[in-house]
Amino acid sequence: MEIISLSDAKSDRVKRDLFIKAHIPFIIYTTSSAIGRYISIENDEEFSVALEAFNMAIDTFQPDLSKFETYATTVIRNRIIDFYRQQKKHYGHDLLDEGIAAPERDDTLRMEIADLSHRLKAFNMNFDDLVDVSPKHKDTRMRAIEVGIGASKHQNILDELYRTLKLPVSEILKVVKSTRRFIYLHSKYILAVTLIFGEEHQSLQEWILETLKDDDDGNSKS
Amino acid sequence: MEIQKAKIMDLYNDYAVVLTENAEFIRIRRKSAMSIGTGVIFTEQDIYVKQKHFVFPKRFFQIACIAMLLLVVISTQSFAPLSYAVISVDINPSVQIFIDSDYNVVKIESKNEDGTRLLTEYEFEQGKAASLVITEILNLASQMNYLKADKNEILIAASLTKAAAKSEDKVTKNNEVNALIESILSDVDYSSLKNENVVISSVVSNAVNVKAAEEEQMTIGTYERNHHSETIKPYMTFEAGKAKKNNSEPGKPETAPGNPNTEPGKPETNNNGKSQNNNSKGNNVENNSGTEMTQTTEIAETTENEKTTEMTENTKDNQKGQSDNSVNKNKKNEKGLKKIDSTTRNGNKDNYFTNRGKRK
Repeated sequence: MEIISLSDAKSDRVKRDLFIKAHIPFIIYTTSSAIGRYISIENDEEFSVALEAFNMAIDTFQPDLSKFETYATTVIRNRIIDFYRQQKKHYGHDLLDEGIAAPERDDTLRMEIADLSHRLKAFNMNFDDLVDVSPKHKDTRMRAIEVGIGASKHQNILDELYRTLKLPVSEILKVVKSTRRFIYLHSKYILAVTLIFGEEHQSLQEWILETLKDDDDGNSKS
Repeated sequence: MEIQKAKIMDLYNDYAVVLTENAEFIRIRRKSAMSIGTGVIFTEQDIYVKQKHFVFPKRFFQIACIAMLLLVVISTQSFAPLSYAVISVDINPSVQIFIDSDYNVVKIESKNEDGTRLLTEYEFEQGKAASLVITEILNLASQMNYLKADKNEILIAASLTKAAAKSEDKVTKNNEVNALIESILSDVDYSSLKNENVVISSVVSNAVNVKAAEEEQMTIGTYERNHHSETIKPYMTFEAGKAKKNNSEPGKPETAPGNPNTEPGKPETNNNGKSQNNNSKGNNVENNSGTEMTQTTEIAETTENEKTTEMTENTKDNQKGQSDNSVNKNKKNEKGLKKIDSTTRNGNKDNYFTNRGKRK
């Protein structure tokens, strides 16, 4: 993918879109830094504001005065602050404070996560461990997820799992297409997935299932 | 930079664990307004990398413990060969020689300026026989003109070291030291003293005095001379070419170059044709029965040979008759000391040297 120059972006609309798209991570990171928290998925307002600001920065940037990225950061920050001031005026309270206080809460999801955490504990695992055992490649993860989902469909496997606190590999191999080595290598990850799908964790399940669909998306991390 | 959406799974101090839209569990940096279940959008820059804290390796402690143990063990060992005894040689230079139980020198030190000067010239080799070392020191002293004064006394003092003396009683210790002195001094080559006026005196010291001498930074010889001069015994006398072994009773200090046992008036050098009684065990003895000198000598010799307490007894014995000469002659020294007669005046000028050879 060619790097679109700023001058191009200024003039050409198509190129501008591409330019902006290429800079989305930058925009998000800048916004996040500006507001001191992560941009929530649900809460897009700040992001929109930042996007607008970035667009404006393209237009108003003067090459001799500074680097574009630095300039854009400043513009975005200012716009965000302005935005919050407006909100404050509008709503009578500081949205910045409120923003800090309440990104949208998904309570069901929270409960599911809590439950999962509890179950993992029985297996002497926590989420921190899962970071280290998550397969690095998306393909591997997907295969592992499929094993987990397949395993979770069989009650006897689940029973065995809870009884022995280990993956019943032989049983799993009977119902799922994989290899002993694969399951052994990614056993903890697979175990977590099995737990998620073995219990009533709708939200989590949906979240993961989106991954499986998510093959061609440019955002997929492999 | 890429962005990802993720849901927060758990919160920790510096980071949070999230489950990404790509089903990966990742750690991202803590920011405000993070709670479990929150959906976030983050970029690569937000990913948190655990810094590996330097953990002290377990091995380190194991090795450290062993090392310390070894250190303790080693430090309790003594490195130098154990000193059995110390002999001090005081001429003008004062030096001290430490020997092991084989009478080999393990260490040598100087106790005064002259001594330092002397030792600087001396090539010390560890393990040499004490008598050899003393010989060399005397030679060196002579070379360096320390023996040119009119009346020279070479004081030899000896004592067992504290460690060696520990379990023994006083009597045994004394015997050992005397034996030591005799053995070593008799092996010394005094040829360098031939033409000088020197008296060699000996004194037996003990560990207590050694320590005291150490504290006063003097040789044990000097210390004994200062504090217990009465215990100094002449050992041998050299006068202008003639040497004579002294057989003084303990308690009679050497007052003049000469044998105090000679009758007053009688020159030390035996010019009247009488030969000195040789009291070495097994050595050829010239019987000087009938001569006063002999008698005196004998008395002196025997008394020197035996313990002080027996002195009177011997004297009595001697008075019984001349026949005692033979008895004395053959009397073995209880202490095992070998007596040398350093001189004979009857044409056996080399008696000393001859006897030296025979003695051993």
